[in-house]
Order: sequence, then C-alpha cells, then structure tokens
Amino acid sequence: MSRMVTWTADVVVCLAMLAGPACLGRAGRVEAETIRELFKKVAPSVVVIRARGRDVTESGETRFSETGSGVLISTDGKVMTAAHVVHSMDQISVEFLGGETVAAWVVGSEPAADLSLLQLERVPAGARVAPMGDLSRMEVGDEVIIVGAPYGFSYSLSSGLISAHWLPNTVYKTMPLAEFFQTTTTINTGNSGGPMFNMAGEVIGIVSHNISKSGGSEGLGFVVTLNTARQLLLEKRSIWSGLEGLMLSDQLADLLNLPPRTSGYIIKTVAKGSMAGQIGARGSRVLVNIEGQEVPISGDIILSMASRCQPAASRVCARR
Amino acid sequence: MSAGSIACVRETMSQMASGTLFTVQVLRAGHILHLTGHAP
Repeated sequence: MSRMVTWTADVVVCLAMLAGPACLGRAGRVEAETIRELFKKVAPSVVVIRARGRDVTESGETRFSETGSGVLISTDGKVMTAAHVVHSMDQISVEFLGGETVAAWVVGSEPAADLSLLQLERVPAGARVAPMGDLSRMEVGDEVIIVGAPYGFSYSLSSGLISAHWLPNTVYKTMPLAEFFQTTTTINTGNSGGPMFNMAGEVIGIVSHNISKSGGSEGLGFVVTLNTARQLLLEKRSIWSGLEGLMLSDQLADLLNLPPRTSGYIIKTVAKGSMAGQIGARGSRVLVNIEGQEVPISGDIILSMASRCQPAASRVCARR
Repeated sequence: MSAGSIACVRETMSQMASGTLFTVQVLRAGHILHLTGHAP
C-alpha cells in the first residue's frame, strides 16, 4: 500500500519509448546509447525496498506491505529513501540488483520532508555506492533519469527533464521542510524513495510523489532535492520517532470528552524498534469515524516532550 | 500541541545528542503518564 503516491495509473515506462520514432536520427541513437550506459552504471546502487507494517481501521488492526525504492549512499550500508515507504513500518528488507536481499532498519527519518535513512545489515558484494551530485549545476530543463520499482517492476528506467524547482514550504503544507525538483519523468507507485540521477550518474534527489487527476502519471513528479536529504538525514540527524497519527484539534478534544483546550498528537501506530516504541508509547487498535474523520481512539495522546538538555524547548513544546 | 509545537518537538528531537534523556508526557485512558528514554 502506498499512501502518498496514490494518484497514479498502470503506466510502465519502457526503454522502447526512448528509441521511438522521434529518436531514430543519429542524435537519437547516441542519446539512447548514453542512457543505456548510464543505466548500467547507476543500477547497482539502486535498491528495491519491501516493508511490512500495521495499520488501524474501523474493523481493527490490519497488516500491510509497501514496496518502494532507495539508493545506497555509503560503503557502510546507508540507504536513502522516502519516509512514507518505511517510517511507520515494523520490518524492512532491501533487494539489490541480482536479487540479493538484506535486512534493514530506519536510523533517521523526517516525514516533513518525506525522507528516511536506512542502515543495512550488510552490504552485498557488487553493490555500488551512488555518487552525490552538485545541485548548483542543475537547472530547469536539464535531463534526468529515475530508476526504481514502479508497481514492483524492479529496476525500471524512466527519463525526462527537471521542469520546475520549488523551495521549502512553497508546495505542500504536509512537507514544509522539503525543497523539490518537479520533473516530467514518469513516477508511479513503487518509485517512491528511488534516486533521480543527473546525466553524469550522480544522485540529485529522492523521489517523493506525483500529482494526477486521472490516476495515471501526468508528468507532474516531485523529487526531494539531495540538498534537503543531505541536510536532514546526514547533517542534522533526524531521529526516527516511528509515530504515525494526527493532531488533536479543539473539535476532536471536545468530541473525545477531553478537558477544554487540551492539545496534543493522537498516536495511530508506533513502529517496532523506533524511539516511540522503545519508550512504550502505544498506538490505537481501532479507528472510529467522527464527523467524517477517522480518529484512532484507544492509543496514547502525546501532550508534550522534554529533553534534559533543552528546558526552554520543553516549555515551548508543552503549550500552544 | 499545535502544529508549531510539533515543529518544536521535531527540533527538540533533532538537537538531542545520542544518549540524551528525554521525557514524553502522554494521556492514556484518562491518566497522564511520563515515558522516558534515551535518544538513539
């Protein structure tokens, strides 16, 4: 189940599209050969991610699986991917080119930018660390490729252009920390978390989602830039909370018979092994529909958080 | 806890050094509990 890339269709990009009638000229063949070589170069750094988790519905707790993509970025086994693929999941496995599969766990996650960092149990022989690109050289109009597992079809290639560049907090309220490249490159369910490469084979972004009215890929893909990924996952070390839930609004507080102006975060699920799981936070086992909104009702509600090193921050966090 | 406070929690989490003691106050079945742990 993919919860963010949901407006897509059964469109699978094939290499034949790259060598269609418009590409039969000399320049077209050269371009196709270049992309062919580029694909061979980058594919060993791309991984297919399969994760299992729990969801809560009105009929109780259910289990589901998610398929996404990722990219190996270090020799010690760090993999960048999208948060919506792994953030609330209990069990994660990573498949490399050739089919070798290794276990992995989340070591950093920032849902507000749809980014997560995995640690592999081991790095298979033959795996290749993807070089990171220099984004200062990238502009709207530049050619890019994406390799991933749309609808589970591993190591599928698509190509296109960077069609726009969005600074943080300009496109999505739910992902305010992410700087995005918009791309014409085809993105479908399963591409999430996969790398976008420049034509030098360097990673320049991590696939997040697309926008579509038809349900099919309409050339409106959004890729979190490598600058954001570097900053949040490698420099700032975003901790994996493992929490999924929703804000407790005044209206919900009233409907749940909580004291007036109670504020907090209603926990829906807690991923095994996450920080929230380790301290014993509990998710809900059932949802109820309250005035059109599905609300987890039997889990914890987080009221505040305090760190011993940050008393000022803890005071702010406890009040609204 | 408003959206701003969620950002504050996020900031608190991102600034915690590994091993830092933290406390999360939760409401569970009508009771307030304090869950403690160390940052990974």
